[in-house]
Amino acid sequence: MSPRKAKVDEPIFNRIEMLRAERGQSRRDLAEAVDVHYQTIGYIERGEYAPSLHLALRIAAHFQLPAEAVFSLEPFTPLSPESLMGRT
Amino acid sequence: MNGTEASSGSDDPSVKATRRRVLIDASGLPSWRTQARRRLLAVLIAVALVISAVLGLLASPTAAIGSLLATAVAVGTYLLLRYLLRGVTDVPGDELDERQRQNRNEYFVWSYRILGFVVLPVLLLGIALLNRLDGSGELGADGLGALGPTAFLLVVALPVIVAGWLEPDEVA
Repeated sequence: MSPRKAKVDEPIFNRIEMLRAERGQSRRDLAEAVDVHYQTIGYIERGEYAPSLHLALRIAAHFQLPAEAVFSLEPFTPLSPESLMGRT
Repeated sequence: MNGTEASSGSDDPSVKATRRRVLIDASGLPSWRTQARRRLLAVLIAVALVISAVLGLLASPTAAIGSLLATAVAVGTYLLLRYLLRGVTDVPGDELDERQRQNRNEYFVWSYRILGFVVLPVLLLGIALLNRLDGSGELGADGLGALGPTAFLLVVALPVIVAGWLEPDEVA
């Protein structure tokens, strides 16, 4: 996966904003941790930029999650108590 | 895969982030950092350069002064736009991340396309036309002489003009 501007018909969804909020991290914090400009994090969060595989894996590693928990080709569903109970 | 930013040096991430902030995150003129205003400046540079070129072709002292003024406006606006785009066109590639490098490459590609497929044909056609209208056969050489500085400025300014037009608004 090479970096590119996100195409409307090929969106890549992500949970970065939620994961940042959970950890109390700003865009600048995450940007510094994965060595990119904070604006780039913003464009990724808004789905306006599709990161390279390398950057996607660095972001996932920063959150200590598998890449598919952070990025998805399908929209993420809200985490309801029922869905969480269904997982256990 | 593009992972060059991860291997661009053994700098402490916070040091690199600080350097990036100083180099790229210009703090002045925040209200001018919108795409709409940058596009306005980009158009102003292009128009000033065209006026400078047209006036430069007219053989009169008044037109020459007008051409100089238009050139001054183009240069001033170019410097302002370059300041607003700090990082996109000026900063060494190692200081940019993959998105910024990709954008910069795109701006340079568009600049080459515009130069090759628009500016050069228009320039040559314009000189040929003026030469034919003039009938002396000398306007071509004179025209080239008059257009030289403008053409040089255009080559220098075009990546900044393109970047000013295409660079998206910053994420709030």
